[in-house]
Amino acid sequence: MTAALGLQSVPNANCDPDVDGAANYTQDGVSYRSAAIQAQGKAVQRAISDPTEVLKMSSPSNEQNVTQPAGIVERLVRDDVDRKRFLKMAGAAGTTSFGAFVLAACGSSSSSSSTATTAAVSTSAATMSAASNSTDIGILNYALTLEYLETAFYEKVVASGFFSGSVGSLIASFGAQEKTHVEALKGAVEKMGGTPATNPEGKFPIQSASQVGLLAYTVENLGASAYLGQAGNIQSPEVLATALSIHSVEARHASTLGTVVKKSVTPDGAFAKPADMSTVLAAIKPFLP
Amino acid sequence: MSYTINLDEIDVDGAVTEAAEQASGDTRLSFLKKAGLAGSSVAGGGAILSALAPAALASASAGRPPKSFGKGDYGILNYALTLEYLEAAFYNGATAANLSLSSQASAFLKIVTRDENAHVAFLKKALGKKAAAEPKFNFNGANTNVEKFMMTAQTLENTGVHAYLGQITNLEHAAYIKAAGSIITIEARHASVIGLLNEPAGADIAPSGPFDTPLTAAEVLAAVKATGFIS
Repeated sequence: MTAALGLQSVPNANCDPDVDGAANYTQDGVSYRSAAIQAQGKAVQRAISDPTEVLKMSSPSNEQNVTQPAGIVERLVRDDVDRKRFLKMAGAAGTTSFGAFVLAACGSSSSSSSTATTAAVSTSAATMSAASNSTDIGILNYALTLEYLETAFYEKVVASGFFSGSVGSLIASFGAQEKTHVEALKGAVEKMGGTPATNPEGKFPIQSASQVGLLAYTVENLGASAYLGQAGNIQSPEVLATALSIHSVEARHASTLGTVVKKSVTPDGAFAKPADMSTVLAAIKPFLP
Repeated sequence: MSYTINLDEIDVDGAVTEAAEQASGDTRLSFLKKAGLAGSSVAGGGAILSALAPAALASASAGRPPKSFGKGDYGILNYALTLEYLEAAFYNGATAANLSLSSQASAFLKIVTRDENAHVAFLKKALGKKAAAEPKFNFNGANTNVEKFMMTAQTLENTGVHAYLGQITNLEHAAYIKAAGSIITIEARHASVIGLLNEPAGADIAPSGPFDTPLTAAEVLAAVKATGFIS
């Protein structure tokens, strides 16, 4: 990881056979352990040996509106395969509630349109409450699906053996935290009377340390922006608090990984950008079976 | 991305401006009076909530900043602005002090200086005439000494995460929820980077574990008071 990554003595090193034999060198007054980074791939190695590059300033944030991708609703109407997959992912109870949840979840829609949508689906107060509930269950299952994918990804990365030492420990701890998110989200869905989405059994390219490091950085950034994309759509304060308390940990992972792979720790600048469901869905498509 | 957060978009329906007209709160009160902390010793204000899943949350209105910061969302934004003023002033001072930082720490300082000043500008714009005035700060050397700077920066960034998380469910306008969420992301990114620089084994990357924890305004304000940074 970083700066840190190659940094000497990991106090709790329960683990790394390389660490003991590692040679130290000093740069910027910080002692680095070169052997600890040998397995990390060239990009990582460069990042570590050239600390001036480790924390890069992000490029100026693009303040212009990005051209909107086709709305998820239109896409889902058009694309039956997408729709089925998404329904399966979201584990939504039925088409009606799914429609409400997708509409409400469109990142670009304001809260007023989500309210209008809910109202259109159901006019009585009781049904509206049920619709709000199903909106949140849908969002929780969406998040759960992303966390399943992250967990599976980290399991494969750990199994790859590409990372050892302090980096390996970090990767493992990130994976463990994603797994905790999975359990929490499943519990939250059940508590709200929903059925947790099933694990999509993601598949990931695991080719080299540098490739995996970049993918991890991408995945964590996507996770953080996916949660952020739902912040304005979530109905229940409990769900909102939970989602955002997970989201900031995804952000912590992402920026840490940014230091590993020499990418910006704040790729959006001073304000993180949200990602809506259609953007996220397109991004994770390659990893779905 | 479905859209890009920018300053104008946050106030997309004029809610910010409109509500600002109605907001109350004497922005000339001193920070300590606003915080309800003048004079007396500080009351601790509740335990830190465990962040485990839905149980994470305090009751919906819990932990708000004192009314002296303003009503409703405006009170929360002014509370946030005060914390951002503090962070920005801390980093501006550190930048001016020309500290002898490692290249990584120097890069960190550039990023946080940019971001915290941007947060201040954003919140001031959102609040308009109702924006709280910047308090007077005295960092007592905490941003002119490398070691103190590194440790204090870590504390400030993590406090920022906890403080915003503690208010996220108190906000009423969706636009503010989105904006606060967007700022939480950034504070968390800063916090993990400085945590990593301070503790290379990684224990401080996510010090609260898999779920970041909220802090009430009373807890945050008491902690701020304890630093003595705001005179």
